Amino acid sequence: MATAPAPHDPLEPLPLVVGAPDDHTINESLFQYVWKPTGRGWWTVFLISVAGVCWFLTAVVVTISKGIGTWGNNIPVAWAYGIINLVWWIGIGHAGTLISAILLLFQQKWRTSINRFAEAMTLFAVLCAAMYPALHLGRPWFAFWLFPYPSPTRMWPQFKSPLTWDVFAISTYFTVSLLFWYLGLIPDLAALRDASKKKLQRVAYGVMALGWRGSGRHWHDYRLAYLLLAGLSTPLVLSVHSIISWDFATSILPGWHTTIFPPYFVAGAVFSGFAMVLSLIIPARKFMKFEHVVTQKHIDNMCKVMLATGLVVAYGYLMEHFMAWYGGNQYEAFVFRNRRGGPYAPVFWTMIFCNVVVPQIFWTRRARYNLVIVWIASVLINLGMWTERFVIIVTSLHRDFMPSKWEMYYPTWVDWSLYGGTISFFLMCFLLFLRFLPAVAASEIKELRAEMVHDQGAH
Amino acid sequence: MTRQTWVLGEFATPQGMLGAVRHLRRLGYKNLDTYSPYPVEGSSEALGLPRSRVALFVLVGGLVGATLGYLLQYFCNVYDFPINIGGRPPHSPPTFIPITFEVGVLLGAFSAFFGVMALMRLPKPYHPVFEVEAFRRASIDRFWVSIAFAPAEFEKKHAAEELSRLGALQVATVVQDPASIQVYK
Amino acid sequence: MSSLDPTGPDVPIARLRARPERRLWRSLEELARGTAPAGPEFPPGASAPPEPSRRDFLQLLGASAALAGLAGCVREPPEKILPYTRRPEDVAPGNPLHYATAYALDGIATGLLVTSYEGRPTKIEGNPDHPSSRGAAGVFEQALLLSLYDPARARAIRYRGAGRSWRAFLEYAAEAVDLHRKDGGAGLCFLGEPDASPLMADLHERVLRALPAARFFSYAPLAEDAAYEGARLAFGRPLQTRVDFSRARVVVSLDADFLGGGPDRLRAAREFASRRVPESELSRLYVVESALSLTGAMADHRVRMRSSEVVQFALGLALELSPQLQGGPHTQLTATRPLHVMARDLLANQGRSVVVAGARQPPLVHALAHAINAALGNADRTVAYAAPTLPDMAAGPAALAPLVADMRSGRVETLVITAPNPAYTAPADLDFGSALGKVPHAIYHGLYEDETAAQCAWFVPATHSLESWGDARAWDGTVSIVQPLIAPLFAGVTHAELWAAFVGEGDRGAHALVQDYWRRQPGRPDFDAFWEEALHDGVVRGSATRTESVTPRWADIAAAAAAAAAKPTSGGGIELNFLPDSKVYDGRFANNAWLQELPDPITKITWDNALLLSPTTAGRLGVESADLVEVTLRGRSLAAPVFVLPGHADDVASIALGYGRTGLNEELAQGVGANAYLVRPSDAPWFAPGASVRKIGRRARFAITQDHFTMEGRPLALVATPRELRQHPERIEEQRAALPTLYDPVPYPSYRWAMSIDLSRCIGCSACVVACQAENNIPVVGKERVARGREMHWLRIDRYFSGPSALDPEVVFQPVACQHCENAPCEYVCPVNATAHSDEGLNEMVYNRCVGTRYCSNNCPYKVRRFNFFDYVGQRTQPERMLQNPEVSIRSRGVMEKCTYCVQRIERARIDARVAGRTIREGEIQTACQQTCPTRAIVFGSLHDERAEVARLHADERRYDLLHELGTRPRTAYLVRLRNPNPELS
Repeated sequence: MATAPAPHDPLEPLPLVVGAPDDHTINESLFQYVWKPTGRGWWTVFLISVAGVCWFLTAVVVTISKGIGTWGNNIPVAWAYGIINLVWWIGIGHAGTLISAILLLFQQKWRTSINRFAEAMTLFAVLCAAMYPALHLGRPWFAFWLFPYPSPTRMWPQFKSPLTWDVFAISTYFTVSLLFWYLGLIPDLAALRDASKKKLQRVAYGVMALGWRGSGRHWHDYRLAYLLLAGLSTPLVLSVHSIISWDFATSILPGWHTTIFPPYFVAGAVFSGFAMVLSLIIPARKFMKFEHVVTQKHIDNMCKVMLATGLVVAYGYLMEHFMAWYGGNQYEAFVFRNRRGGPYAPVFWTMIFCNVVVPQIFWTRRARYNLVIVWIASVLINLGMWTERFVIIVTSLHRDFMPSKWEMYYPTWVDWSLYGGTISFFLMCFLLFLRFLPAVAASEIKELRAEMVHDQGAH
Repeated sequence: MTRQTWVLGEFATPQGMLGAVRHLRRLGYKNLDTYSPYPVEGSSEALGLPRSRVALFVLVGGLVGATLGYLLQYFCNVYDFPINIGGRPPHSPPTFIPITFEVGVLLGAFSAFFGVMALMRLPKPYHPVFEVEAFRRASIDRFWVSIAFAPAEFEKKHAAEELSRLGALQVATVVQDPASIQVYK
Repeated sequence: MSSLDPTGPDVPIARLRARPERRLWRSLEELARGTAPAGPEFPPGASAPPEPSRRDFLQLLGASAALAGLAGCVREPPEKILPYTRRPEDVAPGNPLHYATAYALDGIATGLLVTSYEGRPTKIEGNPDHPSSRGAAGVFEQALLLSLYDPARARAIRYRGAGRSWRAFLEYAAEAVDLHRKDGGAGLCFLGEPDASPLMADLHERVLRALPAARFFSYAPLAEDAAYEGARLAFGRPLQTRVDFSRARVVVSLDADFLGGGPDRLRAAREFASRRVPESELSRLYVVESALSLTGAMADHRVRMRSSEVVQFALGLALELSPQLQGGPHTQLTATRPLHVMARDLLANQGRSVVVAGARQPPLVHALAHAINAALGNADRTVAYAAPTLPDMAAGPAALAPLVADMRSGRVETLVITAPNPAYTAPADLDFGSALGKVPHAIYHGLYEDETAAQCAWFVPATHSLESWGDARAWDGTVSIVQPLIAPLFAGVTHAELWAAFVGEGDRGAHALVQDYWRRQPGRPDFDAFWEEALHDGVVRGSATRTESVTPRWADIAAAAAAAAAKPTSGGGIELNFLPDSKVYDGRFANNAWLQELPDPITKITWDNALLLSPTTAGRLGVESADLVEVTLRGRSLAAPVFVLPGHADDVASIALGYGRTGLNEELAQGVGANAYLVRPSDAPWFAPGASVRKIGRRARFAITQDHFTMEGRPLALVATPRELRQHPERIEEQRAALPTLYDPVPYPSYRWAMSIDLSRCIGCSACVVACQAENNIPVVGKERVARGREMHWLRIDRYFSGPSALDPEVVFQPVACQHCENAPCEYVCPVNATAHSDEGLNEMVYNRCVGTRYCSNNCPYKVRRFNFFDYVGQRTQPERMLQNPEVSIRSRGVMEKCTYCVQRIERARIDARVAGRTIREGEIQTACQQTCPTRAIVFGSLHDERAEVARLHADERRYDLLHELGTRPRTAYLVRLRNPNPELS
């Protein structure tokens, strides 16, 4: 955290906290929705998402009782929606860690109002992602065979397989994100405990706060631990999507077997992650009256980040196709010709439009400051990143080395249900989070405000 | 458990709190602590705390994790049950790196989290200072200073006076008997 | 237990024993109805099997659970049958025995060797001692097993739908004979299929002796009458033509698909293939045909033309080659360039060439072929003639007409039908079905209660070939005794028994009938020795008919030729071609799931037939593949989906017979494909002009296993001419040369299993695919799942079209199964070690360990891995379970599977070797695909012994690795397909 704040904050003139509310008002304003009775709007959306989760469970039951045959997969397209959605969700998760950890290390103060929000998003996204590796197995009930546990057969996992790496990467990522998130929550939970009027709330939050007293001796260790967790999460988040990308890069398939994948996947992940943060926070800040802490400035910054990462992704596409041509490998060349002009070309061009064309509007200030445009763009980008994974996975598989075994892939209703289902699950978790937990890191806002007051005092 | 006493003083600003702590230390008070809704710059120095040991925990945890991660893979695929997998050598360090790294990070994170919990002696849902109703604002918008006394050197009058003299909005004393616990204003 | 005694407890055992010669029992249904006369229709010992082993007992339990009718049958038939192995005392649970028998298709037998586990036939191979098999088996023979266990087979003798006993039928038959005796049997007709069985011929005579006026008809929709008529025209009497392709340097096929069809196709394929490798003097094949056949696919030069134009082509060829025919009024013939070149090539190879005419062609074409062969001096060298093995009796659709006329006019009182399902296979214009309705006493004998059964008063279930006693003759006349592998699973009698019923011997049993017949034959001093040897070997030595040298009657041929030449080429419109189907033949195999799901070698269509059109014609008609069209010929029309086939002749539409079944009980066959018999004219059964094709507007959905025809210029199935091979060996070299690697080579101390597949030999017949399916318990998944790309065949045959034009493509077949790569990409991506390498170089799949991530399939560049998307094993019916190979584990839902190089055979050989205290010998192991391959294209063995044939082939100059540049180091090597085009034409 800013030990010596920069003499001139680069993020001026726009304020990160509108007005100069004192700590009490901050507390009030950030926690009020926890005390207020649940609104009708919340209930509507919540029930819709619960319905979606039931739908999801139906599809899960069908998949497990009947078999993967209920999906659209075939040989050669043995992977499809399952893996597409896995990669998509993991990617979305990345923005949270990036905002809370990397921007923390870079001392980007503006992160404070959105990091809690983004971290929660990470957790739920990773939860959604983690369902697919289990579901897409032919025999899900043996999923535990992917973990190294001593068994009489002495059969161990095969550690050369990227899938085994995934198991470790995703579980580590989830655990660390959870710890990081919870550690950050503790002071706010304490604040909730102390601000709560009702006994039940006080007990509940009291338990969650673990008896935090805001002691200076605690802050002393706490701040370092928090910083170190951020330090650990930063390489972790980069490693996770690199490993996901190795699921493809270590194979020999044309269109998968390429060294550009790790950076290109990570950039894509951040890209889609910020898009998801925006598509969630724009409505949220309105309904929950956060405009004074999640200001236009934050949205502006996030748009810029999307523009930057979007350009990296675009560069990735460009290089893929350039290399396919320049490398002179006929299989590679064909796969990319097939992406541009093959049966799945519409998906490919949708991807290009959403991920390359759309972000360009963020060059203009007007677009960045028009919430409607930003929201639509961010949703389009989420869609675009999903189509990117579809393009990478399906088009490479459906026409690979042996023309004799080329097949088309068509999703079934189960495929769609599982996708829609995880979105509902994500939404449900998120609504619960917004309802019962501090969606904005109050203590950090207070600290930030204190610094700003101090700075203004300085000049 | 023997009798213990805390004298608490409330301040409106972090500066006031820090000033009080510095003064009390100059007066030779031990067992001082501050309470604030957010980390206050300079409180560690004011309390004269040594460098935190969390960093060491994380370093050790990370290294141990990485080593275990590598050994695990070596044991499973090379030592205990080597199989010819696609003509690759059983011991192939490059493919062992990702998991080595992940396990390292995992144990590093564990040691950071549980290490700091241990240092803070948390979770500890109850603490005598919570007996002071006003202390609830310590997590919201007030800044508190506490002095803890072992029974032997208990001179509560002076401590309380010192605090009020230093501009404490209010002063409270928590006395904990083996049997009971009282709060004096 | 009921399974041992289907009559139930109320039948005293003593009565079962009373009449031991009776070998039949009737179905459960009757038992249920209680209409069953008591016991004596049960095989001897049906009530008490000879020392049932524990395994028998369990099988009985299992079978009886679902289907008590089957239960009693999991046993050898009661009579003595002889195992093929030299030491019958070998019988031990778990050790299979091999029995020699034979299967006759359209009357011509192929020798079989059947593997049997405790009386359960589980696998069929060719009999190495049999002249037309030589150890090979085709798709039909391989698939026999499944139809044996087909639950849809008829189970009861019925009279007007009601169950009857065999005795009841015998009494009925006796009465019928008495009735007919009055007029010498004038009202009695027998409709059988062409049959070379000496026993049947004998019964035929005995019936005639009793009822001289009785008439015998023979019908087979695919009968080769024209060939015999051609011989009659050329030589004055019907003769069969025997071609020795292993001696022919130049082969000209006039619409003859001698590789894909024909009675002697297995031998022909083998001899032909023996001349397609550089070790021998490479032969050259010219094919003249309309629809692309397997033979056409192997051609070095293929000329597309309407089937009706072939006669003109033959005429032209004959004129250039046989001086004896010159001087006729043939001047208006416009001979094409390929014709001249062919003629020159043939002239240059007199005595070393052969011209073969196809059964679909009219007699004149055959006669001309004979004439040309005679003129070239090929007779008695590459081609020989002999008295027909089949009785001299017309059997084509035309032959059916007089019978149908009599049926209509009511002159037929009793009709005994043993021909398979004529009501379905008869040409529509005969309307056999309705004629059958006019026959008061129609008796139908068949495997299924099918379309014909529905029209007949009596239905008598037939025994399956593997359940029957009998005899049969190979194409060259060699006799085989047909011995059953298993007592009839369902009620059933053989042809012989049925006919014998009309000479009062219906109750003697097929075994007695056939044994008596052969006992009566002279020149067999020690009958028992002869009998045992015949059963043991599967052939009667020296029973082949002699060939004879004959001279053509030039005048007759010339006259016929002149007549034909004078006649203008047949009329306009689209010419409709009727083809025998590569899978269901004439429709008799329509209920066989293995065959239905087998991709057609040329179109790769499963579970369907299609109207084949050339790209040009399709373009002209404005239709594309999968468009439904209405084909109309002479007022009869038929709806069928179009398939646009490169290499097909223009203005011709071809459709395979045998689909569109409406059979009541054959659920599998129902509604599959379109029934071409509905438009087949009896006077032009093979091709007819003047058809019209109209687009309906709806579309069909094909289940095609290979949608993409071309190789995209990738080095997959390599083809070269001998010259290219000589001039540019490096082009092959670079497809096998060792690639740089960072890894230390893995040592393989002992055996190094490997395979080689010679594309020059492979004719794409697909027998290996069915063999693999039978050997490895591979499930059938059905049309929908095949269409989704989920077929389970471990071995597939890729068919690629190449060459400059899609109108005249060059075709190459490439069997692809697991390549057992030494650096297998599938292995290192599996997270649970479910696929790994054995120390003998096998890429092993551990089903029990597989969790089904399917990553291995993604990373397999050959896409040979198959996934159990559903629980296929659970869907098998009780009888189907009986055919499972006990040495191959079945795969549960959600696991990967793939070719194992028939590891179970390797292990059996290892056990035998270990018992004998030696190592596994070269040639001791044959994979299922290798064993059945008619052309010996597949070779398996261990590379560690450099004298092994597989080692030699791996070192061959033509050897290359599939997708070599990937560095997977496959253990399966391919040998470049050689083409031998005529320099004058290329």
